[in-house]
Amino acid sequence: MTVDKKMEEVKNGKRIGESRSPMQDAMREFRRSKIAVGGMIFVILVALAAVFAPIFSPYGFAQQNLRNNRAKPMEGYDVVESYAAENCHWYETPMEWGCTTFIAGSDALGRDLWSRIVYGTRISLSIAVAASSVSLIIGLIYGTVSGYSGGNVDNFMMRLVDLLYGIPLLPIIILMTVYFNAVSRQGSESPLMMWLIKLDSMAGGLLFVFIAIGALNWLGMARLARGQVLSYKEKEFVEAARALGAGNGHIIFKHLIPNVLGPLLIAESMAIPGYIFLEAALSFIGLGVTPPTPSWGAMINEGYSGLRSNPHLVLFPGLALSSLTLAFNFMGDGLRDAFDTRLRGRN
Amino acid sequence: MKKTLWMVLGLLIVSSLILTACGSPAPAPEAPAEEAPVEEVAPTEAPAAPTEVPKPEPMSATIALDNPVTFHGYSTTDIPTLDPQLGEDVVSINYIEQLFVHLTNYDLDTAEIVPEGATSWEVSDDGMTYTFTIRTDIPWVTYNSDTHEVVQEVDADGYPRFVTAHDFEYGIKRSCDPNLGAYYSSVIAPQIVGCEDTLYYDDPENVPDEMYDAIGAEAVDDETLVVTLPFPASYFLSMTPMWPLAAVPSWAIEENGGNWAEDGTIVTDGRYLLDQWIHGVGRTVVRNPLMPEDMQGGGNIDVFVTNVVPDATTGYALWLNGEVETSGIPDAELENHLVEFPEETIQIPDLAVFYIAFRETKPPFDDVHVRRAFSAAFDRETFNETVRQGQGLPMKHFAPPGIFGAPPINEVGVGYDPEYAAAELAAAGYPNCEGFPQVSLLGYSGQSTLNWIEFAQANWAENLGCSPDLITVEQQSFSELLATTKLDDEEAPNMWTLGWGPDYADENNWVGDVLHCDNTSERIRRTCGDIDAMIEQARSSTDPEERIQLYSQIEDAFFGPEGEVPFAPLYVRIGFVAEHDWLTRTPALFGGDQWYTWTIDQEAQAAFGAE
Amino acid sequence: MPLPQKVLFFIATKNSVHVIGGLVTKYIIRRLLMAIPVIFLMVLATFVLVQAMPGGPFDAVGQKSMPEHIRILLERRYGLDKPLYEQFFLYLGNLLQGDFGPLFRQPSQTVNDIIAQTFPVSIQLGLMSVAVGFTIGIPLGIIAALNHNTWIDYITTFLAVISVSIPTLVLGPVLIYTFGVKLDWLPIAFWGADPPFTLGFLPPLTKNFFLHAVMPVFSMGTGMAAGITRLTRAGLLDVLSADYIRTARAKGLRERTVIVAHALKNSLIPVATILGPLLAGAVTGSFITEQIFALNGMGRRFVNSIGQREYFLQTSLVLVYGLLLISGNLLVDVLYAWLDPRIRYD
Repeated sequence: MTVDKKMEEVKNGKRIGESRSPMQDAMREFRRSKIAVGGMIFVILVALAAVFAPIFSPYGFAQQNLRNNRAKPMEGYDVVESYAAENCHWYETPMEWGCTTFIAGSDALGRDLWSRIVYGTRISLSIAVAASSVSLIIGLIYGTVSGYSGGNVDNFMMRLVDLLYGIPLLPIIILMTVYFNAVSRQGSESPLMMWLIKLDSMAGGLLFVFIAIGALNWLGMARLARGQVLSYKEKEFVEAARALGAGNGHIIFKHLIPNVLGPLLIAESMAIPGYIFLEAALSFIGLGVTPPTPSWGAMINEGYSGLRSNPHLVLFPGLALSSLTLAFNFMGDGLRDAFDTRLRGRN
Repeated sequence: MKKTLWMVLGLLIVSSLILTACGSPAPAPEAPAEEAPVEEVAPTEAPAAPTEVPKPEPMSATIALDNPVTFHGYSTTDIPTLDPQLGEDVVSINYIEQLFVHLTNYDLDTAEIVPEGATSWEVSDDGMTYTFTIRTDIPWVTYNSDTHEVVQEVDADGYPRFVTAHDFEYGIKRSCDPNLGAYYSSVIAPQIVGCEDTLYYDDPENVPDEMYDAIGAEAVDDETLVVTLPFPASYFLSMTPMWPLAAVPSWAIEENGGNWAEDGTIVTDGRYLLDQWIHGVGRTVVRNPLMPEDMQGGGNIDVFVTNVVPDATTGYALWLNGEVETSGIPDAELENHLVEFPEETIQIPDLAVFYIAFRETKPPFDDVHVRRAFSAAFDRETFNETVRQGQGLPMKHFAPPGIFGAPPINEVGVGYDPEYAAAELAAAGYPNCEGFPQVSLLGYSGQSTLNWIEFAQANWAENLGCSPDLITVEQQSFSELLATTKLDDEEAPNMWTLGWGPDYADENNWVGDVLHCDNTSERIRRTCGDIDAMIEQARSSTDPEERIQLYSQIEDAFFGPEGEVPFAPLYVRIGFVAEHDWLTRTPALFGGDQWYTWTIDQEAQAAFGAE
Repeated sequence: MPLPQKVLFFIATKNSVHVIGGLVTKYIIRRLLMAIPVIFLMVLATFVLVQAMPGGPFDAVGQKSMPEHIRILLERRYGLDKPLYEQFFLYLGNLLQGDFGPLFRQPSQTVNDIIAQTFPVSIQLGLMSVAVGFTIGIPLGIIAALNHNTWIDYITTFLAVISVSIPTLVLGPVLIYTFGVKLDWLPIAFWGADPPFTLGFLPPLTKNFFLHAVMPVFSMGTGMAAGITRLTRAGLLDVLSADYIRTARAKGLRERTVIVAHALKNSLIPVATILGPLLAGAVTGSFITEQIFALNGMGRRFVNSIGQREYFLQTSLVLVYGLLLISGNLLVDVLYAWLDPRIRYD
């Protein structure tokens, strides 16, 4: 804080020396970066779209309108009254014009592209949230246990991580996903398999995508968590807590994890764009969501062969994907800058 | 320190190289240079003055390749093999057609069987013995791609090798060898005496020689081949252009084993020679000047280059840029293409028919009414016009036009009839789909299949009232689908998508090879009945008229209003191909394209690049 | 990829160079030895997994089903009817002799052939992409860090991220249509060189080769550039606010000297950390690029081999990937020692 600013605050009647929590400091710093705030707003908008998808889209994602397939954006089409009444969510609302116009065009089966993009936010966000949670939780637990235990346990656990780094996880994940999909179609005797299959259908067919992403990324999270725990373990407030008789569990949960969680969350938010892309790449190989559920990656796969004459089939999902990726990137950058104490007060 | 670093770097790179370089075979040796004519050998037995019989010189030529007429094409996969008895996929079969001489050929304009290796043939009265007269003026040759020299093969005594009936006998018997593991062996085996015995012999590695000798293919002399059939299969003649019956060089096979058909070692007798084959990348063939004139085919293409391009969009881009002569058109580009290049599009019906099959033993599709309902509720017209954008014609029965015995495309079979469908479903006990249980539809992977099964789902909802929730829809890779559809009733899907492309131009290949109850025991699981007796009768009849009538009845018994409906035939595929106007060709429906009949206007081709 | 933190400790001796040299070699040998059980487990896991998938390599012929007897024959010929453990030991035995196994659907080729044909292409593509990624990423990252929180920062970050936000699946065809068809500046597809390669993997350095390489390398390299930009930016920002930099500035050194002599080398540490995995990732993750530009590389073969159930090819490729990754990580560790002399090798 510069001297001038402090004088301002005194003049405005603020109590000198009023403490602000690190969180408030960070939020202030975050708000400084306009683009980070912009990113966060966009992410919130997308989240809203995902939750309130029917409101934001005229049609469901599976409504086929074959006579009007591959329509260009903003192309009007003839729609029977009863069809609109039954299928269009905007029927008899001020947005009724959307029932007779394809806002973003339509795909090969005549499904409204805009509606599918809106519903696609659900898949993208659920991957962002669920998959990053998986890798976060596993990494957090593993890293904290390793860092806190120290000594031989720590050594061994980190060696294991080193070893696992040497395995090409993506090919193995692809194999596992194919295997799982194949087995789940045929049904299985073992109760473990049955339980997994049930879990998978609850996750919209994405269970293995979540596991894949979690498996690919928890190593880095674990290392990060361990590093954080190591550096905080020796700090005075932990010593003090111990002196006061606090048990290990108390120390871990009340003191260490809140400090460790921060950098991990930031690292995850920066990794989320990669997760969304991983799902798109898996869709390309055919391992993504089950149809007709829309995911932006799958939509790009459907449309890229028509790039020359029907660019809208690729452009709109591609734009959506890029925008969300950018938003997460800027938001993540802003968060990281905001929480990095050494950068504060530079400008 | 730095030195260690570089050492380590070098070590890492070298070690990873060692693993790949280790074990990779040395490049194939070049084809041997032409042989010098052998010394004349005087016969030792004649007491009179020895008469010197001059040995004919082996034929040879050097191909001049300055400004050759060149065709560029692409395929999405590499060729698995050039071995005629092993060819299974379209790409391989195409190449085999150019490189090897078959027994007969398939006339592109009249669709008749015309002479090729065999100049004429006679059929015995009982229809079970075919006698072929083989021409003996086609040389076996090897080609050196560096020197551009094509040289005729010579045997151990120095006599130049020509194609003889013995080579055809060898080829046919080789097809009956179970150790080859060739799919098409099973297609031709039922038609040749003794072939099934060897093919399905218990101990494949120890098939007794007598059994091979007993196979009904015999070269009486160099010019006569006699083939004996176990029953009067009148469609056998339409099978004679097929590649498993082609002549192959026995000496080359015995010398090189599995590698005989590779770049550098292959011995061929066809209109084209293998110039280069870079696995996974592409291959080139050049015209064979040593081919008899009347077999050259009339085309003018000297060099044929095909590269591997796995992606349809990229292939289409190559076509737009004039780098390839023909190309498939991605679905999403089709409409635009027809508007932009109406003169440069051709439609090729490839005679593949696609259907949705039912497991006849698993409820609710064990009830014929349910099967009839689901088949008749699929709007074939709209599907082909709109979803497939004209890349198909609706099919009401199985065999498409062009197949001997197939009824005209618009006759025989229910096709799309929503009222009939609704009535049938009600007759089954599910009026308006009330009470209908959960069923599953399995499709193989691919975007167009996805469109297909989602369209089916929507149709059944609209025409039968069966909500999409009742019909689980999913996709698997093709080989997975093949495995899944063989499982028992509990685990197998109720319905699945499949297609069938013809091996030869006869109805027996359709209702016989696909739908006879013996052949459906794994997947559809039909119960044997009167229809099967009719199929057997038609198979053995020698009267074409009778056969046509029988097949019409059979198709009606399967797909008519009272039909069994083992599957719902939906459409016959028509491929739209982008083709530059300087290429003139007639595509072949059977036996592989005949490149030797195609012509390119070289000036027009060059002019495109100048634009 | 997330940033692994290395613990930094410093052991200084007068003969530090020799000690570190010796330590490095011992370290490398130990790492290689540790890698052996990893590789074994990896191969075992893959082998079991690929065979556990339903459907076999000989089920289908194009659109048709292979007759049962022939399918059984073929499976017997390749030993697929034997019990799994027996097959695995046979495979291992062959591996030790340098034989990676046969190919099922291409009888005249073996897995060795495939690897010899595709590995060089993938490596060439991967190396060039990484080089492009670094060439674009590091300068952009430096510019962004030096202009932290100004519009220059935002724009450079935007540029970097936008290139990774556009999936190769879209970028590829766009590049092809623009530069290949419309402008006709660059060849549409194919790799500019075919096997056999010099020394097994070196490309011919001809104009033709580089023309063909531009679009595929660009498609892959720009994606990497984004990650590298952000890491460089983060690393430099970190370093620039460190005490020793403030000391250097206080001493009155020119800003440029400050950055180049002091900040840069240390800020590149996080970037160096990902070099190995990045390279390995480039080689393994090039499937889409290879598919679109018709390149005969390992990524495409691997994905295709899954559908075709080419068991030996799949397992062998996973093995090669694993070796690549281990080598890459090892390279990184050694590089680390060079960049940061405070590292201890335990």
